[in-house]
Amino acid sequence: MTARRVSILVALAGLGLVVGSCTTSTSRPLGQKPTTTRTPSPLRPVLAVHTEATPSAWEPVEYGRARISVPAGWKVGYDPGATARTILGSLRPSSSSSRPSPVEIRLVLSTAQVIAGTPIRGEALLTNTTGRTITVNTCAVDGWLFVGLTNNQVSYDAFRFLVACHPTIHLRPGVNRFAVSISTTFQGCTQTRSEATPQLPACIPPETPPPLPVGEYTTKVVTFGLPHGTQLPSPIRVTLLATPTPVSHGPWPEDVIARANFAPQTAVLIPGSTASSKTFAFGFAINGCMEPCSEPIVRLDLRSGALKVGPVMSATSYLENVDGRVVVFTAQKVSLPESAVRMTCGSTTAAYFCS
Amino acid sequence: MWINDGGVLLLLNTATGKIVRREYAGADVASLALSPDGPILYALSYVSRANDARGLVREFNAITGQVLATRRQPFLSGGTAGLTPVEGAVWVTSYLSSVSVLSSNGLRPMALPQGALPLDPPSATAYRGFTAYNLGAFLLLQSYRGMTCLAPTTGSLRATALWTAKQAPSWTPIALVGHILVAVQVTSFTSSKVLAVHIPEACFG
Repeated sequence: MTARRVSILVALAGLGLVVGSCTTSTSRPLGQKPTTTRTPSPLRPVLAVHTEATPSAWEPVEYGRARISVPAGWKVGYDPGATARTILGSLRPSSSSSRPSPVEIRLVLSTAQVIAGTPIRGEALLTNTTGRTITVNTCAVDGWLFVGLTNNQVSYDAFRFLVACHPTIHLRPGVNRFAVSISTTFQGCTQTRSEATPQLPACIPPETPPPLPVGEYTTKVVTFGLPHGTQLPSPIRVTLLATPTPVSHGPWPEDVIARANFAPQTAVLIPGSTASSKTFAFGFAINGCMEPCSEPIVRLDLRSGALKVGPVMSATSYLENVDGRVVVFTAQKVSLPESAVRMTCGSTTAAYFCS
Repeated sequence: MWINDGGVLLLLNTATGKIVRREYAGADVASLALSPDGPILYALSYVSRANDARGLVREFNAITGQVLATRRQPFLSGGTAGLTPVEGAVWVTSYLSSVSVLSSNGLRPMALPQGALPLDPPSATAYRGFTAYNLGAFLLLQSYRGMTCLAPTTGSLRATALWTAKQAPSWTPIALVGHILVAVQVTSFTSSKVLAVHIPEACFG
């Protein structure tokens, strides 16, 4: 009985409800989202953990006017204004059943504060407590472990494919780690701007869902194919921030590597294949002549600044980096009849040659 | 490698030097560019009629030569233009006036985020000199007054650099080596120098 009481207290902390200052009721009419209401209650005495009821390896934590007990390693914050705050995600203790969960899920995020639109990387730790391998009984390609963000304006739903292949994910006894990425953009959008709603915003053309609004969210984990009684993690509070105004810089600092006299549009870079190998820049030598001129290929060692002058190529040749090789395209010499090269004097272009 | 030969696109095997495919492009192709991951070839042609200069951007399957999408792109008369493919999109810059980004999925125009364009020159009639460079980690959009570092696929602004009118950036990027941009700066008709430009961290997103 007492063990059960502690579990309930910790579960309340995970849900972010004020302990001891109000009571909470949750109602969920069919087809509607869950709603939570609070009613004030008379002041109650400070709650404390019944030490005999504390499971081994659990630790007491001060929690406002109460002391609660949580598994070692949990981090629980207290916001005196309203809600409890789980800083790093942890598993949510089982509600009232004394039966252990076959799988306990813990969620760990790399950060709890990002610019809206930037995905959050994290890890889901699934602890198989049964001592035998558990097969996730669903087609993995369809998706079986989803993590999203939700608040009272934004809902999150797991969208699955319908491939229906054989199960391929197996959970060994103990901890199994799976990388997760939490999107901070809307799950969908409409290409018809007039049909946009707060829940289904207009796409960033052509079809990119916009970032979620700036604000506070909590994580929501949805799983498929895990055994009955799987323990989902407590929601983690996540803050989405506005894009910062980029810093303006003056001219960027620059150093002269070499006076190589490359014609800028002809230069290509061939990076070294290893950290120790040389990086070369190739290009044709710059020339001030006003018509196509033959120029040599120049090679510059970017580390030493050493220059090497190669063969002279015909006019209008150019260079390309093709898979780390310099490919030289060079025009063939052709003879044209005089009539083909005759120009009409008077136009801007021809005037230079006619003078 | 694809080569434009007077409106005929030639697919060259660079190992053997043999032409393995020919596709008629139909109009004067001014520039060709492959998407960074290879499967899409973009071609830009000019379609000039009286008082109307337009560009024609086409998207080909780079292996089969099949035309995937076509889009007419308005340019102000006299502007030359360039194609800068990135993953999932292609940037079309008119040297004279405009910058647009088209989705690789059907060449549909994407909205350019606020602040993505570098500053205009003081005079509205002056050339803006828009040029885009895909440096992998970011897209560098250059004008005569400055540069912006943008996320290549969305165009979202990461950093801005301003130049005074007398110090307009005059270098041409070659490639990024770590956080150093190797660039060529022309100093006279017959001389240039190779620069190491230190790129701010913000550009890398």
